[in-house]
Amino acid sequence: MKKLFIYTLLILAGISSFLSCSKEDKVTLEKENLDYFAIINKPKEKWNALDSLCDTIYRDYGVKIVYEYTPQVIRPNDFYYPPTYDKALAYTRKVMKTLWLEPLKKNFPDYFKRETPIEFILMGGYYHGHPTNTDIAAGAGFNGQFYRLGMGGVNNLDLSNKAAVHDHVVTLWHEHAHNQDVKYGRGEIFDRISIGTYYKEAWNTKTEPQAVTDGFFRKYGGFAPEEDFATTVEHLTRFPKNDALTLINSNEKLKRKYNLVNKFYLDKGMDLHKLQSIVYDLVYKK
Amino acid sequence: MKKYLFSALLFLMCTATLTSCKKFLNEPFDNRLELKNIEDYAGIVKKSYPTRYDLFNEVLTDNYKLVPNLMQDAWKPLYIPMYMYKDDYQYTLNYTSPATAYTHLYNKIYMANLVIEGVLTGGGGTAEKQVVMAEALLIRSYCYFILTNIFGMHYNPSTYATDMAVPLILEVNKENRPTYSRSTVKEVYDQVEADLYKAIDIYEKNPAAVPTNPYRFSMGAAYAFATRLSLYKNDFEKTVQYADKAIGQKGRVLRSLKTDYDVLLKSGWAFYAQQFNDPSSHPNIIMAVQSEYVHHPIGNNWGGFYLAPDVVAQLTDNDFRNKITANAGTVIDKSTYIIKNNTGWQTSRYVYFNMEEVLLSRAEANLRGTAPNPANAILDLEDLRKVRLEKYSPLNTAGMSNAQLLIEIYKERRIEFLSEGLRWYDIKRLGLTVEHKMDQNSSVIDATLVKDDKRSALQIPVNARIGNPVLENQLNPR
Repeated sequence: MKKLFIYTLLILAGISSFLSCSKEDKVTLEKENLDYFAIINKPKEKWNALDSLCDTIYRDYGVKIVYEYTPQVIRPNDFYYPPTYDKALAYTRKVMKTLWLEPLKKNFPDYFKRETPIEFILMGGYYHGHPTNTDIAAGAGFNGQFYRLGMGGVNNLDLSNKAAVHDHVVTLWHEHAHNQDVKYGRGEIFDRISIGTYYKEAWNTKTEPQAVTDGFFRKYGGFAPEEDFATTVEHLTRFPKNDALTLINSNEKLKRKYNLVNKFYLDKGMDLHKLQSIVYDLVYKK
Repeated sequence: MKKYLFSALLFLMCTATLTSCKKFLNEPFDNRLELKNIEDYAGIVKKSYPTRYDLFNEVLTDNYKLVPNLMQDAWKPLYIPMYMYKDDYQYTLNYTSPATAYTHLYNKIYMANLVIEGVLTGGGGTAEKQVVMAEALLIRSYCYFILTNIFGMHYNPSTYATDMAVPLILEVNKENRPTYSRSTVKEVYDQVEADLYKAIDIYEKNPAAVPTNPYRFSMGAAYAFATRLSLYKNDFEKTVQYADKAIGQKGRVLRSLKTDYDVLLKSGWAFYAQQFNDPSSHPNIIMAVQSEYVHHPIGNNWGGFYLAPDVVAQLTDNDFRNKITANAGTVIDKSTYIIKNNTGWQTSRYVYFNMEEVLLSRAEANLRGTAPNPANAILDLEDLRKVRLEKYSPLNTAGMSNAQLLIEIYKERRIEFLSEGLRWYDIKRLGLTVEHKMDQNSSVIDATLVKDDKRSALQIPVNARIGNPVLENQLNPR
């Protein structure tokens, strides 16, 4: 009797185990690489030239370039979308590799190791906008992340226009400054320099000379402390050291901001004046 | 002998047992405070002041727009339905919401009723007892005033006899689980007025005993309350009368925003926000409340509600009210908020009444009364403008009609009381239309509130219905 009972129990346990196994088999993860984007991981046999280039960049610099994804809705009327293939290929070669990652790794190896984002998203248009919208916003909001950076306007960037390319790379460093700001914090001392005097939404009604008088490198920097920090970095990346210092020395607030931001970067292994000179030479002299 | 001894012992034991029983039953079983004298009741009344849990109402107004990507996700089920004028918002207590306000205000009414019922029979001086009762009457009156204005339609003599407000509970409950039916707007307003004017009468007869503490109902605060009540009733004569009395108590002293701005420049946002509603450094504040952290979906960069574009446009560079705003998100989000409180996890102060409200109410009443007095209205308006504009120049009022002047006063009211919880009541009483969008970049209006909209009487919250099921059959029509 006891034996029979044990056998029955064993059979029941066996059946229930098999049943649950069978049910578990049906459980699948719909999107294994579900992230902010639906990123397409293509099998190697389907790779094109850009995929191979991205793979090389990933191996050389540890940055995953994302150029293919489903257009993403931000709000009912706004979405962002990937660049066209040709534009993305040229952009990755020229901007990503030659103007950003290569000089960064070569000239600032420590900074490169610690502060380079692990993902870079290429956008055909701009971050907040419809394909017909021409408002320029390089990657605002999007770049306040620890590990990801992105740039908009890839479809519109004329790589033969040196001024446009230079502006784009400088803007990339502006966007990266947001990344750094979120990661480390620009600090209360920086915020206190222009506290209570930010233009907020009226920034576009100001003139550039007025902004400088008020202690901002650009009127856009007068929008809010976050942009104040990023435009300070942008200014140092855009203009030669002597020119930058001439402006900085004309205003006490600019001087204080410069001292803080310059030290913020130097402490991490980045000399923004040196970076400016490298970027300028790469764009205009090569 | 042995028998006698035994009987005597038994008698003594019984006596001792009964004696101790009597004493035992006389003591409160849980060591609770027994209200016996004036100090006990005064202690209760001080604890009866409500926190500004009604500030959620800014979300309902045209002062704010929704920016969902700049809102903590946990708050979306609470505030987005509210913004869409829907009743099915998440009933999370302790965040500022109709549900929290309902519970909180009735808790305070219970405490006020306790005082009103017992203080006169307790020990203490007659004048002091009268004043403590008056203070409790003012608190009860204020709580019902807020409740009826949240959950009822606005005061309207042509419909107030049938418009439902909230249950009137005027006694401390002695039953097991009583139910309370809703009273009409007229009944609640009558009660609010009866309590208020009785309290004012007591205060006026006993001025020496009236509190002067700005965190309690002072004489000035009672008058300021009467000013607001009269304005909401369109009783413009009384509005001017009580505004004059409030000004008589405090003087026509307005906030110097320049001074607050200087504090900001010197000490930063945190200190500025903490001191902004400090009555000791701001004599314009007639009455304030200090409370523990109250979450607000406004006034910070994670709440999700930011100043509407027309409000931002009105806050010009020349206006000090512009200088106490900040931006959330990025330049594309166009999200501006005004900072008047500390909205972090800490104690902050909120205003019940201030001199700016008294002045603008008087200015409005001076234009809308049976004998309009535009000259006085302009004086009050200009007094405020003088301390709000960096470079002041008077309005060109020559040739302005009273209606045009009123528009100027309403514009000023709107930006002066941003985030102070008054706009919603102005929208209700003035019958303004409000349009809310889910997507600020879209041309689609997702919710529109019109004059005398039924949804302007917020629905009785679920938590109130659970405790008082009779309300299930008395819900606001939709």
